[in-house]
Amino acid sequence: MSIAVETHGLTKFYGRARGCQNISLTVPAGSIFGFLGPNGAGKSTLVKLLTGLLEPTAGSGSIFGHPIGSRQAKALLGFLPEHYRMPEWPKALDLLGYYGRLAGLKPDRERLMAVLTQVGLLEVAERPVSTFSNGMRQRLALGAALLHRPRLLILDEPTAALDPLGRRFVRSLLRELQADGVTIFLNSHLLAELEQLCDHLAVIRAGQIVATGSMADLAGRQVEVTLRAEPLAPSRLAAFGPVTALPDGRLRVVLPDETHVPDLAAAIVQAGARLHELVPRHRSLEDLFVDLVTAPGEVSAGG
Amino acid sequence: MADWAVVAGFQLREILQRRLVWLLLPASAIPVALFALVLRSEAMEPAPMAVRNDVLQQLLTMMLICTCLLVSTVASFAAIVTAGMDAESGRAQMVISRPVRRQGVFLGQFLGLGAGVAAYAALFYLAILLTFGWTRGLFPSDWWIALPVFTLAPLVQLALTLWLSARSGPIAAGFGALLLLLFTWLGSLLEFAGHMLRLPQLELSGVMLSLLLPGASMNGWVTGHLRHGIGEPGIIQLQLGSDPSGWMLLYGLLYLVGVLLAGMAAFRRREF
Repeated sequence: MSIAVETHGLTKFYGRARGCQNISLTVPAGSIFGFLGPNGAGKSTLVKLLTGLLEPTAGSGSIFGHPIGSRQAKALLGFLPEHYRMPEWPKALDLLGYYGRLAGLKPDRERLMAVLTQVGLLEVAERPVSTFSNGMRQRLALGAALLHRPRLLILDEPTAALDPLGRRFVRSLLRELQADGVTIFLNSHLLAELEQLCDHLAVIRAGQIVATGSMADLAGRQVEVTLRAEPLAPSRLAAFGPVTALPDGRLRVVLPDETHVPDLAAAIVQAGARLHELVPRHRSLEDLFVDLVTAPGEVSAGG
Repeated sequence: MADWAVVAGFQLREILQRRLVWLLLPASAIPVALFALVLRSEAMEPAPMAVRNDVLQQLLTMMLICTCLLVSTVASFAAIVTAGMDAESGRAQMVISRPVRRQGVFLGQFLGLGAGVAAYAALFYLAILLTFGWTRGLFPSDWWIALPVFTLAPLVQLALTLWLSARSGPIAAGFGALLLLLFTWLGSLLEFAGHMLRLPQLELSGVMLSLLLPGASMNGWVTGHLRHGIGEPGIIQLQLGSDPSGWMLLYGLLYLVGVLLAGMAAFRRREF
């Protein structure tokens, strides 16, 4: 497996305050890697460390083998910061040209036009940014991050200010980029967004990673079953996983995976109960997130 | 194109797009118009030639001192606004995360803003001299030699504020830079008082205070040069301090280069 980003014990303290601590991550090349955590957990700190905006207090990291913060690493990454507000006065084309020159590109109108087409702004290339909607600005900023054909795209809350159509556009663009081999590091707290896009995930809480692995392993493996069976004592199902009695008389059982569902149904019938209802549901990322940020411990999944 | 040239060009274009800049120009015409009015009024009062010459020299000196203070303050504000906005809007992060030399970005910012500030100072300077020539038929000889020195004083202020912004927040930087500006002009005032009262220690302490920021001394050189350009020095010398020597100009230049280098080093280490 080729690795896009690798960190070892990456730590950042602001004076005595902890930004993030002992972050060891591996982002597979070509993946869409979701980085998830509650506000203030240290997500943006890690993003700033990866992009060379902050110096680590301890630990190290690399981007495609180059030390983070080095010019070689920066040449391979495109970055869109959170709450980026672009200057209002330039035309879209001029602004992209400016960022292109800073990325070391020679003036190339064709490349600029190609990027504007990619982000759906070709028709407004000659219009000043001041006439753009929030969604258009965000797409233009994304274009600026893509100009120099980065192998790694680091996006800090890229869809937070977008309407549903804008989000859909960005999602489809990110999938296209992934198909072209670009690795995407997506920092967000929009769970639905991450659930739809990411194939790998890490969750950070209070500056420390509490779960990391493939999305299928972390979120998709467990199945939550809601059932109504009478008469049945909850303790009869404890062998399958945690059981919760719901106020309406139903029971909720969390199974390790979906292969256990027939066994559960069989066990209920063998216990002499009448099974009225049994609804299996894959656990959502939100369920996982709530569990991880409220419970102690660390989960690590392979893949 | 080098990073610093790309940033400088963009920065200068940005200044020219700001509405505030285009409001500043007509607003700056007000003190120049008042200056013209004062010169006209003075011409109507009967006075011996020697006294008149003195008064004209002092009026020109005062106007140049006020202008230098104004342009230096504008330079500080330009630096504060730029540094603050860049960090807060994520623009600095967009630039720094690219494969650029951070020192080049800092230098480009200074050059872009500096070009705007220097142009503003030069316009102001020329407007004052043209007004002086138009109302009184006098135009200081060698005025062009003093022009670059006049524009240099606000550039020193700009570089200082940018350097302080790279070390601390823009508000603290602006406060510090303006405080230093105040101290240095206070130093010139003490130097003047020491000179007039023949108190060498007071004069020396004024000179030492002026060294904190050489803008006032550079302005003193400009006013001295222009006064000599319109006639013999008069009896009353309403300049702040004695005429600085050429060494002071060299100190000013070295100060500017030193502050720029310190700013580039601070910007390289700065965390965003």
